[in-house]
Amino acid sequence: MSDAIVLVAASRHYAMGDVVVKALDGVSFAVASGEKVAIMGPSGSGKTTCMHLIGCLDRPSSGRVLVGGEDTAEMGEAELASLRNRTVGFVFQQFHLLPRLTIAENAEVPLVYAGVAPRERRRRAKEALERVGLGDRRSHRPTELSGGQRQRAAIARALVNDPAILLADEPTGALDSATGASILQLFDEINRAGTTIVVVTHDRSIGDAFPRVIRLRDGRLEESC
Amino acid sequence: MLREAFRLALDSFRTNRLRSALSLIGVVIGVASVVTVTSIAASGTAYIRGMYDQFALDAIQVYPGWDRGSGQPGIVFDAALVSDIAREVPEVKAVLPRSSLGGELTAGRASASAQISAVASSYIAAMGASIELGRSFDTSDEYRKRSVVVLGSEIAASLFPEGDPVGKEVFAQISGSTYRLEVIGVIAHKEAFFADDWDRTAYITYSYAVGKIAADLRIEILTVVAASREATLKLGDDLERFFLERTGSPESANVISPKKWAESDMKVTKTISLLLSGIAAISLLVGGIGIMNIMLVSVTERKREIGIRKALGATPRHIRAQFLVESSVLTMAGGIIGLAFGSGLAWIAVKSFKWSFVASPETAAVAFAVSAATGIFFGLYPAARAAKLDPVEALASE
Ligand SMILES: Nc1ncnc2c1ncn2[C@@H]1O[C@H](COP(=O)(O)OP(=O)(O)O)[C@@H](O)[C@H]1O
Ligand SMILES: [Mg+2]
Repeated sequence: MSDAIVLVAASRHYAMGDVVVKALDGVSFAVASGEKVAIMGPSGSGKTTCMHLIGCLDRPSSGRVLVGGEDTAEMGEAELASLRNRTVGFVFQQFHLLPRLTIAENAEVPLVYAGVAPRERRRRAKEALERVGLGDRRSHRPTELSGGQRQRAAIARALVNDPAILLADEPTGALDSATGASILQLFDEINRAGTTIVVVTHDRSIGDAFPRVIRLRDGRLEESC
Repeated sequence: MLREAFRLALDSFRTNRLRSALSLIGVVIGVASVVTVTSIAASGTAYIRGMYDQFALDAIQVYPGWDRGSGQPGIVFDAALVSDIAREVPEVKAVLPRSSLGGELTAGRASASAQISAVASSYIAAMGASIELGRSFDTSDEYRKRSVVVLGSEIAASLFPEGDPVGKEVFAQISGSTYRLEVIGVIAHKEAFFADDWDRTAYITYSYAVGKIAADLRIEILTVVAASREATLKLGDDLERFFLERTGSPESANVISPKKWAESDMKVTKTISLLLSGIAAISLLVGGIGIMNIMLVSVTERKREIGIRKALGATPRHIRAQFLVESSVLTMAGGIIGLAFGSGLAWIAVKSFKWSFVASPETAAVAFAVSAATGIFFGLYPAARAAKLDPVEALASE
């Protein structure tokens, strides 16, 4: 099985005046395609930074990050955006839906940037929303939905362009535990359909349910299985 | 992509209606000024073009001025002058004399007091009048001093209410004598211009008038026909110089060219145009800066949206396009309002000049071009700022 994600001595340093904050410091690991992995660690350990690197939102200060076999370190902004658009779907703790758009329109956004024609966009957005159980809520705006529904809409949007990798940063952090559980179950289904899933969480009870956990502490790898 | 950007732009105005409207005032005033200027110019051009068509512009008319000191005519128009003009002034095709004789015309029981004008045979055509019935003079009418008359349309109608006067006879009473004339044609309706009250004048040949009516007839007006329409404007200047050299006084003769006449009208509009252009430039600058400001505010407020869009795969180019479309849609909305205001203003101005208002598609095109250009120009910097935002930082913002 090929590797969906490879980090080789990846570091991300922030210069804060005289001090250098090592948000991520020489981290190496690989995630195979089709795997389901949790990245865990206490607050401030570098989980979000790590996810930004994997999601091509950021580039390493040093080391290498390969996403879908492509090295992000050398890429320009536009190339990075295109790689992100094709291979990565994001799910955020705060959902990050666009408030003025309906959830169907939200789900279409990645397809707009992929240059998909409007008709096809509508069809695929509908399909994605049906997949997360929101087929009958397509014309609702995010504010008209519950937290769980919003997160499902965000997941539909993340899946709409059929990415190889689904990245979720504390996806259940803003949800009650029952709703959170149902979101995790949805991830499970998505993973079984072949999508690589990386979930960032500081919640031990969530991480324990994952077959593989990557642990971070102070920007370094603690142990990996 | 562009269509999406348009939708987004309209969306964002709906949420910020008042703010968008206020930021547009400068653009509205600017575009309104531009529209007023171009509308007035278009109407003025149409007006001049109308004059070209209405009055044959390859003909320039000259009449003697009055010497202020002596109260005498500044120059006497005679046969010698006619031949001198034809010889000395370049690009002259013909010099046509014209005189007026007051009188009364009768036909059967009908009579009409009329201006009777003695003209060269080619005069009617040279002045751009057209013949409605029958024919105009030909050179043999002139050469043989035939007793023929061409009637203006109103005179023809009052003397011959029952219809076609061609071939009929009329009698002209001039200074106590009666002359029998054969009607050979009727001139189509034409607005009076300068010496010719076309509808109420009866035309006879100059040679007939001198030979058969009054040997001492004075030339009142000379019509100088240019060799070509292009030569007309220069001909006006040349004639002025000719009379100045001949008499030493710029007031000895009045040179009337319709183009000059029209241009003196245009001078007023030139001043107005200049003023409005200044207002347009200033208000477009101020309006543009207002747009830039509102767009910068919008970029700051929507940092998170930009971050989300980038996370979903928007390239810097996509984001730049979104904000450029937004600022130009905003200014084009201002452009539409400005177009309406400006057209109204131009309409009032044009009517006050007694021209007819011309709604030109160019004016609308100019309004759109100017407003879109303002939006794009002043939107460039905010759009570039939005495009350059770091996705991680943008996502983290409130
Ligand atoms: N833009 C930044 N500038 C400076 N320091 C940062 C920045 N982003 C993150 N950090 C620092 O890097 C460390 C790791 O942050 P983060 O990846 O968000 O951790 P986690 O998601 O595990 O809580 C923290 O100490 C944080 O303060
Ligand atoms: Mg975090």
